[in-house]
Amino acid sequence: MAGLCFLSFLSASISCFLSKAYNAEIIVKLYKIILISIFLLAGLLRFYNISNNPPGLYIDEVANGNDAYSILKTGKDQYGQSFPLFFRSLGDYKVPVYIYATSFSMAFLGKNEFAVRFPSALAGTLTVILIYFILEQLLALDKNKSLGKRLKYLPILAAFLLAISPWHLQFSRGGFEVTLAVFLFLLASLLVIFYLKKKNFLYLSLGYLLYMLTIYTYDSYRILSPLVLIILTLLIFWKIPKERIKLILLGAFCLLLYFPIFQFSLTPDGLERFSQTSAFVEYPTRSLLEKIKVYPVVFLKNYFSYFSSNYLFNFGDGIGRHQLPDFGLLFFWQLPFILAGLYALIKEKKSYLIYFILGILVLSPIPAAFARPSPHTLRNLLAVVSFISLSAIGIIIILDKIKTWRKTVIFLLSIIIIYYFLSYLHFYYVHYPNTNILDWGKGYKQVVEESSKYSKAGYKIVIDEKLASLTQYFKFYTLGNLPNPEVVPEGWYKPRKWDNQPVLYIRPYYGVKFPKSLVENIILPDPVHDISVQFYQY
Amino acid sequence: MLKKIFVVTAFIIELLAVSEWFVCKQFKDFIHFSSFNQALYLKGLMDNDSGIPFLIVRVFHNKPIVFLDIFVKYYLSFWDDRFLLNLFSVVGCFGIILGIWYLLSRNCKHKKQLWIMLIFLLAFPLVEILFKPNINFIFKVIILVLPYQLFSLFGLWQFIKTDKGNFRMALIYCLLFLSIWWINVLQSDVSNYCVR
Repeated sequence: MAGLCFLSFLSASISCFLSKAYNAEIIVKLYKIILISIFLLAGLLRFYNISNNPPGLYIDEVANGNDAYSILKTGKDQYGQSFPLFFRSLGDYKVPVYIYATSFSMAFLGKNEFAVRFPSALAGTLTVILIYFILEQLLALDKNKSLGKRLKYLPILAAFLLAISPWHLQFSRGGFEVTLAVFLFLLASLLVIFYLKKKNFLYLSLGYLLYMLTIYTYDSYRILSPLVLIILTLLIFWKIPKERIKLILLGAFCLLLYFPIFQFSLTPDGLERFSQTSAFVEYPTRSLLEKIKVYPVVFLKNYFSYFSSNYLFNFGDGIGRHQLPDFGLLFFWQLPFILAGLYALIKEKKSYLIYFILGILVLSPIPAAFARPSPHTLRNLLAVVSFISLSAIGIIIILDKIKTWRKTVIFLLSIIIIYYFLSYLHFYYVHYPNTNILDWGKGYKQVVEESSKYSKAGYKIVIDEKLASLTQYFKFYTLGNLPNPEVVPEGWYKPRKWDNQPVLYIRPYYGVKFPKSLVENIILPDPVHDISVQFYQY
Repeated sequence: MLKKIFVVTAFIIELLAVSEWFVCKQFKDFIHFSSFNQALYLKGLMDNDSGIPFLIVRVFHNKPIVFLDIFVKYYLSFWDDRFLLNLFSVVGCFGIILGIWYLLSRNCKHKKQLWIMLIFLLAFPLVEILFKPNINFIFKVIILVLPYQLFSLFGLWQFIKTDKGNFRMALIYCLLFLSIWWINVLQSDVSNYCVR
């Protein structure tokens, strides 16, 4: 039923977009309605049932949620640090913006899955609105008015394609910091465009501040945002001489804001994350000369991997949380349009639209290429904006070129778009919650719920060290109302001093060792892995 | 003269990239289409749909659509840039892109013939993808790669033959250097794509 609703809605919208060439009056009349419908659709797709699908919270979401709740209630993180700038997490440190944003959402929504994912879903929805305004402003800014005229419907079409993009949907529906970072980055870009249009320095200052905020939102932006800021500053410095002094002051202020993260990056704690994810670890080198020989090629190899067809259209990066199995980041049908859009853009001379789209396309994989695994969907999420814009340009350009059979082509294209999108929804809502449960944490919630019953009955809970992350889930789902479980090493035996204390021992499935004590097996409903958690009662 | 030397050097480097593959016996199955595997895949998909109305299952999991999807996947795997960079070298890939660019954007003398050649080149990998011909691998890889190399040389030549050649020559020079560097450092990457 839901599928049919989508089908009729999408048919109407797409047909309206694409039929503009021969029925322009209708689209002018319906423009605002279509636009609002797209934004509503974006919100619906991003918020619908996010508490349950993706199936469960994965460990980073839970840790973030615990920190956010702790900040909300006590002003301290889980480890007792007051309003930290860098949150100690599981084996590394996290940048703070998403956690503070989650604190806000928890203040209104409580401590639950929805609140953890709310900032990401909201940022994802607003990004769809933002891309519309960015492209509209870029077209208005261009001196080349013929381009603006030809691509008049680019903003609305790009917003629609972003609203249904599997790549963007996947990250908007999980508690991923990167979605918020992309939103802030695009908002900063919009402010810079306003500055270029109105020459009001306030816009530029706000834009720069937002770029700096992205650095504290997601790790990749520690490199990307400064890079963008350096390029922007040099260009403005060169092109607008009267702003130079203000620009220098603004640049100095940004440097000041960058200093804490730069300083932190050089500490052992800051370097730990880098050493965990560095792309160069896989290529051991003994001397500086060897590093100079190997590292640039490794970087380039990783960089090019972000344009690989297998990555973009076939399998993504292979991490179950980042895309549906056997689904790419983009739909197959987008490929010819992306190529056509790229061709059309490169042929155009000097245009802000080209700088923006190609700039993001070229720059966004740079920080990601320093890390492993490469390619990595999450670190390169910003590129979705370029690919979506290119496919929208491609659709418009190709339809403009077609003189005969246009209606038939539009009809067929609409059918293909709708079919593939509905197919994606089918996979997302029917297959994904079953096949990828282990990539998320639904089973952990079940374990906590079951063991809470024992805890309330007076049992002491102990957890095998291989399930140590369960403590975070305990904290999250029991709201800290039950005593924290104790983590014990593998092969633990109940000590004598606990003889009168009933104990529930939770461990992964190592085989049935003490059948009489085994009270419950929780089998995570994953058809591939068949992993279970065992409850032992002593 | 210098321009011709550059193009010849590019050709030699492209051959060098191919020669890295001579240690292999067969491509791995990432580009080989298998209808049996696809039938199994389709069955797996349908098994996941328990409780879903049969009509919907059929709409999303049917042979024509799944086979088309999978076939496109295999075809695109051939055009994966990680694979192509190893097969044609960096400068070779750049040349192929340039070749396509000049074909689309310029009015050259033998445009019709070049278009036929491009269509032929786009269809060429289908033989390997669909039939996996059982012939000597060195022979196979040379047959597979040589037409692309010629097309790539066409692209490179069009790129540097103009008056604005100096900047472009410098770029090609860098790419030639990078290609040798790449082959030297990442030669082991070939084993990701072929069976030794």
